Amino acid sequence: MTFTSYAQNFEDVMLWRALKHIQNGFYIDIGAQDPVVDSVSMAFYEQGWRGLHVEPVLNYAERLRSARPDETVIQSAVGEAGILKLFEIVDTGLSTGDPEIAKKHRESGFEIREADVPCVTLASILDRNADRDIHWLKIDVEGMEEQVLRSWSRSPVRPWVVVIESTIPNSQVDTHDHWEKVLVELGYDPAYFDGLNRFYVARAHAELKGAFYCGPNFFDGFSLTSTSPFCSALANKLDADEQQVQQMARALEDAQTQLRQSLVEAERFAADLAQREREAKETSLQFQRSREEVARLADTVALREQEIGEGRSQLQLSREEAQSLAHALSQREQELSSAMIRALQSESDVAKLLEEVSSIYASHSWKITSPLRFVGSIAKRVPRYGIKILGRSRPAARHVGRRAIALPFVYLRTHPRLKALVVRSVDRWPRVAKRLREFARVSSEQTRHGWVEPTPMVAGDINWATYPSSVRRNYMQLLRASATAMGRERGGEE
Amino acid sequence: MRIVLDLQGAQTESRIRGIGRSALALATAIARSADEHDVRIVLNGLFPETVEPIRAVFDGLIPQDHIHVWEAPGPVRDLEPNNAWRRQAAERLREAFLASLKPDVLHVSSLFEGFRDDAVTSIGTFTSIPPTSVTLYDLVPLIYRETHLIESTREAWYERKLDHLRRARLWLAVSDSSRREGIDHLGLPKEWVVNISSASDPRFRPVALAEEQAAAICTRYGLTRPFVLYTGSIEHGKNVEGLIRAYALLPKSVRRAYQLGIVSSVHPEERAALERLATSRGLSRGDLVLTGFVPDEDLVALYNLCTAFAFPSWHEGFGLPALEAMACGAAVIGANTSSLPEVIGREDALFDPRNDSSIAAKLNEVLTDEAFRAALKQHGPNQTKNFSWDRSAQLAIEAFERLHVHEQETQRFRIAVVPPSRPQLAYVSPLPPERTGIANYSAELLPELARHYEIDVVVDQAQVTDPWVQANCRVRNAEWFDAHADLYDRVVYHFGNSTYHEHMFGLLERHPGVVVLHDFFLSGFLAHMELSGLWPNAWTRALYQSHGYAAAKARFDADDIHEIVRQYPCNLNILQQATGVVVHSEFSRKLAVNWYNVDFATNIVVIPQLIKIPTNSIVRNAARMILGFEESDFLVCCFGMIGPTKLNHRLLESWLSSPLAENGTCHLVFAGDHDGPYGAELIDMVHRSRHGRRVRVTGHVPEELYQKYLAAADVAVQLRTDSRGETSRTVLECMGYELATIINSHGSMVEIPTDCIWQLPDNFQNEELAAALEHLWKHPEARKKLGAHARIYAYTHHTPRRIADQYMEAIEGFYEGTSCLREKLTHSLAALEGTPAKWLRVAEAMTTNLPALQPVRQLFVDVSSMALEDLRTGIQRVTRSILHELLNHPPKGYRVEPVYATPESSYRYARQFTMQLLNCPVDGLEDEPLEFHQGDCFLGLDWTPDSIPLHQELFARLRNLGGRAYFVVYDLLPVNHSEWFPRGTDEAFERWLMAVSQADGALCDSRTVASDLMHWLDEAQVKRHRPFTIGWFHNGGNLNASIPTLGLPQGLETLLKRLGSLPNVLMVGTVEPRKGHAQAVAAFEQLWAQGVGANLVIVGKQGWMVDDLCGRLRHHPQLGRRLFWLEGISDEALSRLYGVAAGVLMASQGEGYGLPLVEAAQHRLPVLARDIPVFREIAGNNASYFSGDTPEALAKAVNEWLMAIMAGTVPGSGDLPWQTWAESTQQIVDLLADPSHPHWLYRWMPEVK
Repeated sequence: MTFTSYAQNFEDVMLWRALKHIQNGFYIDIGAQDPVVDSVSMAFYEQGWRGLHVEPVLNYAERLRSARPDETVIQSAVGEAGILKLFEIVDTGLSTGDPEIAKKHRESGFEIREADVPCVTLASILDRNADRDIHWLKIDVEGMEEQVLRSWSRSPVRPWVVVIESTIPNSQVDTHDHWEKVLVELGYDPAYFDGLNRFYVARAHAELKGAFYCGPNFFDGFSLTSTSPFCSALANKLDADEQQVQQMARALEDAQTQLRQSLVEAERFAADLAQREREAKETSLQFQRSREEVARLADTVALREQEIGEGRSQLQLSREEAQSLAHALSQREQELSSAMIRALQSESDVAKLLEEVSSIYASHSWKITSPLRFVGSIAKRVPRYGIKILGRSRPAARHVGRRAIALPFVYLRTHPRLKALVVRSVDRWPRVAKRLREFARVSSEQTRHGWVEPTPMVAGDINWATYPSSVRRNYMQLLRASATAMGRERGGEE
Repeated sequence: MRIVLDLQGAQTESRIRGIGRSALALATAIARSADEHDVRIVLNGLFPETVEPIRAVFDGLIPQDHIHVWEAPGPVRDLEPNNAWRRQAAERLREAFLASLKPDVLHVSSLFEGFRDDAVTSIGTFTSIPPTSVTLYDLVPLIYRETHLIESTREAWYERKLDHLRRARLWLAVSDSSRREGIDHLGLPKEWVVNISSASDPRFRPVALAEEQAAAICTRYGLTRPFVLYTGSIEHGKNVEGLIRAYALLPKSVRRAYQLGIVSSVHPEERAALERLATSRGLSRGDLVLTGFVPDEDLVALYNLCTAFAFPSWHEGFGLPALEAMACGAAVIGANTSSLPEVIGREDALFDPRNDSSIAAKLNEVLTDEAFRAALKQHGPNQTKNFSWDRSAQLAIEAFERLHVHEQETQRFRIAVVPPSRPQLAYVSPLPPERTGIANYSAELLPELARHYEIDVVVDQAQVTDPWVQANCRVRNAEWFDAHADLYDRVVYHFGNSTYHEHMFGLLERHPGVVVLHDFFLSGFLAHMELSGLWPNAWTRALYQSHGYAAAKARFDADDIHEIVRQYPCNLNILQQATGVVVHSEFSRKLAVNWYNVDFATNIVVIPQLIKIPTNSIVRNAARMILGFEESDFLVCCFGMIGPTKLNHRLLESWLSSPLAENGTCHLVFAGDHDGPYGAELIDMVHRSRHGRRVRVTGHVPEELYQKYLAAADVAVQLRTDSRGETSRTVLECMGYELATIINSHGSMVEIPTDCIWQLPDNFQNEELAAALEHLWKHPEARKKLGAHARIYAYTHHTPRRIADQYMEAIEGFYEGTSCLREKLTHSLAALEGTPAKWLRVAEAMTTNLPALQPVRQLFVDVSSMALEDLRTGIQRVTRSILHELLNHPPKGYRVEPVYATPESSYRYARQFTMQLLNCPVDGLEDEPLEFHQGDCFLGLDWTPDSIPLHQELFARLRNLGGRAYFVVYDLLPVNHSEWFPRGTDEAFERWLMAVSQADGALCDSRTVASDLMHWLDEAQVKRHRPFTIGWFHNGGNLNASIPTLGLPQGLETLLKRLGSLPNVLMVGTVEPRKGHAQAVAAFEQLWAQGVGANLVIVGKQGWMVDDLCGRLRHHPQLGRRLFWLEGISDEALSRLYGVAAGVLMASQGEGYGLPLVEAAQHRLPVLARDIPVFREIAGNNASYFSGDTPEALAKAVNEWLMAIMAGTVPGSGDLPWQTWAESTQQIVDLLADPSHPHWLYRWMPEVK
């Protein structure tokens, strides 16, 4: 079994050299701190030893308890029994009960937290384990060594080896002068000094002294743990490598997530495409149906014309009216055609449409048939222009095409009287009227707003063509606000 | 200090009474002595006919655009209970309008109006913001309630007015007596009731009247003996009855020697009652004279002529007639009550008005005691000196100043009231997971903004993934919000230039709110919507609305449409609709000023970008290790999307040319996505370089890795060009990461302090960038310092918490200020009782009173006849040429808007016509009705005699609201020579001229026409309040600008050949009676008979009243031999004819301008012209002239002229000065811009008789 050293300064190597012949030994670690980092006991723990830890700092005590569930951890300071003011040097193993030392640490910039901790005598700790051999006792109490040792005197228990940190914390100044005599009185002989700690062997076990003849070396057959300060360079490298590996793993995961998302999206697109195809089919079907309906309407027109032909005498009666109407219209016609000509100048096939329209206008049946024919002409022209627009995207053609459809409405909008006339005639065929209105509304809103206004046109008979759009906006806002105000009033009554 | 004076007191019935006169006199005096104060006059549009006279009063005293008119639907008079709703609406409309003027002090000249008339005088009904001052005349109805407030409607009206009166903060009393009334009867605070006194008009003064003049006036009013005078109304408290009774008590001898003259408008029943009283008291017929209404001129005379003036009123606010009489040197006696002792200023001139014998005694004394009378006469003018309007105005202004200071103090110490709960705010913005920066921005801002508001987010997306939003906000969709917007106290829209904001355009229009413009330009989005067909014409419309026709035309003319997208912001509509605007940089605000005007900046608040606070810290070296860089490497990074506007190639070039490229430890990283040719080109450049392997172009990097680069970098370089005000969050991010960052000072980047960032010049050289990189490489401490500063800067100014606080301040500021007046008004009106069916008229008034912010004024150019039918007459040629120039070069500060009207319908924007004229598609814009604002200008360029008189009201309203209207007058021939025109032409023309004469002025196309017009104004006895200005310009001569017609008729070549043999004399112009064709043909017949070899070539269509002449021409034996008549040929063909002509004959008897003269000059042809002023004006010495109406005279002149041509001694026309249409248009523009331009020849006013 390999031996891994965790201790700060090979204390565990030295102790192991002296005590490795003991199976499942027992130790006491005063000022144990972290269960792993710089731990003297960890290596022994791994070898099956168990022991007792005394640690005043709550944080470390908790860590010890969770890392060594099968060992005893006493959260306490050691010294004369009572309450000790502990100067906790945050996140270090330097915490001390000595105010002088704490002051020095503070001056060097460490954060100091004061805490009152219970204090037990070393004697009471040792006495609790009087019934077994204590193979080693380590004391690392940051300047409190003398107090700790003095609290031992009452106990007869003698651990085999005692290790004591014997320099002023974070320095090489030796302190053993003050307390070594106490140990000597207790029956120990100095065995070894490793630059930081002093090792003492109980006289009852003088045979162990030989193990301390030289410092830790190759023949001790140990290896170092990565938290050891002697391995810091290596450890950093390891950390980074690990992070990189994690990073790569995450990146891989991201990529996989993205791939999954893309697949989902692709499926959605496919579904969407299918939906659009269905819609397109539906649209063309609808178009087909409208076309058929237009044809039916045209038949109806033919029928009407026949009826008119038969009821010529009746027509004779209204001829006078029609003539005066025609006279009024002829002026409008001229304006209409000149306006249309302006818009349609260069497109000769559209010009033909105009001729057709004006010849129809001139006929007696204009009044009755105009709207029907108009719908028909739109239905006929729309696909043609549609194809043109798709086929060659010359802007001029596009404008003219759109214009050809919208122009009559634009014209009607600016000529209220003519509009009233048309509306009256169209109203006789409610379905046609409805459709024409819809077309007129959409074309008007699109030209006026650029985007389709979702608010419905107000009921009532305001002719918005005679008001600036800002008036309309204010009006709508007033209307909304008053509706809200009335709503509130009603709500208040309830 | 801005002083706003509500002058309705000078508009109602009061205008012909003391109150109206005083109000006007005080206002003019204030305007005169206001010094640095900004004085504004506000008038009520329900009295349209009073606006022009009041404008005339202030003409020259304050700028006309400091006179404002508001409108409201009438009638509103209180007398009729049915008006109640309209009156309440009008009060709110008026107060909102006044608040929009941001007065420091508002003064109401007369509060007690609006019972029988349509005045609206409320205080603090809608807003209590402008501190209001009121003139306090008297409280007679309150004090004599039993006689004055009998009717309950009147009483209620008066009580309501008192309520308003109490809400004023300053009261200007007309006398000490009225001041005490205010304090005693209403308990007004003493320190704010100020006696500013009153004064009489300076025309009330002693005048010496010739005897016959005096006699004439006396006779006119039935005054046959010396008389005692009273003027004023004859209502109860004036105590006219007491005066009559007292007069009856005078000794008979005295009575016989005098008459009692009562000057007042008097109803027949009142007259009868007074006459009955006189008879019953024993007065004889003729003792009492009731003159009825007397105009001011005569009143001055009567004051001067009376023996004594008696003023027995029980109670006055001031008692102006007494002062007027004293000013004229009359011996004045009056009541010893109320204000009269102050005014009269002499104890012994007073009597007890309640005691008839006291009045009689004083009357007797003044009539019989000559010394006493003389003393009083002398006292009058002296006493009057204590009262002057200038002094009153001075006192008023001092009081205003005191009020203003007081208000400011109060404002300063006003304690902000913390609302009991957070206001409800609708936050309209895309949110994560939408892939737009604005979504992320909002996600970071919202948690902090929620400290101030209860926030609902309004989105147009399927889901919101941000956990904070999910946990803390209600998520509403746009439709829900549209229906429930009224639930919110505040609305904020986040607009960007992308389709994520599509739904906001409609919402903003219906529910105004604060707009955050993340990109000043919305053109990219709008262009996309238009070109994709989703919103047809949206972009074209926005271009036109925001930037005018030139921009709309540019869109269709452009070779590269993206150029236009980049050039024009297209966001005016949004700026106008927003309650307030937030932008991220000063640069954006400057764009608003540059593109529109400085007013827009007042409604824009700059709130800097916010920084994202990194949630986990990344260690530099760890990041480097992961990214594969060594600790010692020097890493330059450029973050963000790679593209031409980021100048990535410049960084690469600079880096490659710097010593960094040679050093193995230096690396360059472009951390950002790239697509398109630019990115490919950049990568190619990297590959081609021998140092390319130390340059990395990452492509898209996930956020986490992106942050690693930020952590690992030593220096960031973020360049920019072609920005449009957007701010860079990336730069901020670099700064937050403590990076030394190099930028070029482009756009908003200049706003970052230079000690926090390395600023290269905007147009930096590569060497400069290379040097900067090298410096930062060599000097780690400089890097560190720059980075540290950067981080401090970023974290002090840009944390979400700080930014959210600024948002709160901005939003609350907007909602408190005037930009939100229209919305508040809407809600205030909507809350009025009843269901008003007349919202439409209210909406119209709102539109007029509170228009959206306008970037420029409109110059309306009338193109009525041309838009409906282009006849290509001479006038239309002028119209067309000038219109073209105006559209292509709009005058500074104006947008040019062609408009048209028909006799049936009022003016509309001629957008379709104009687009067609500009060769643009016409379906993009709609012809909407005209909407005008203060300062707009109408130019009647086209000649539309039929419709102008029908739309006179519109012009009157335009002028009332502070617009101007000018007409171009081409000639006055139809009125000066009606014989040349069809019957009725002169009448129609005269009607047109009459309408024109009520505009601001006329622009004539020659000085001759200008002078004709002035004579016509004299003749027609036109009535005006302000002068009518007449200026002149000359037409242009470059045919190309007027779009010549093309085409050559068949047989022209043959004709030209035939014409070649003899000298050809050309006559150009419609064949009309005045053009002199008949005389010319007769003259040539004589010449031909004499054997003179010359052709007469007539070019022109047949006009009116020339059937006989044309018949003769068509059957003329010489037709086709020596006489040629070409009807209706094109400009091109005419040009060819000029080419073969020997000279041009201008035989016209009258012209406005005479364009053929210029054409002849352009072809360097000699001209023989009739000697009339307009030809002299245009041609001067560069033509030959003839006189006489007989064929002989002309034949002789032509003969001599032809001889001179042959001899080469004829005056040439080559030096005839002519100008281009551009110059003509400039002349017109100059005239409109500068009222003192030398081309304004006349300022005409009717002569005062």
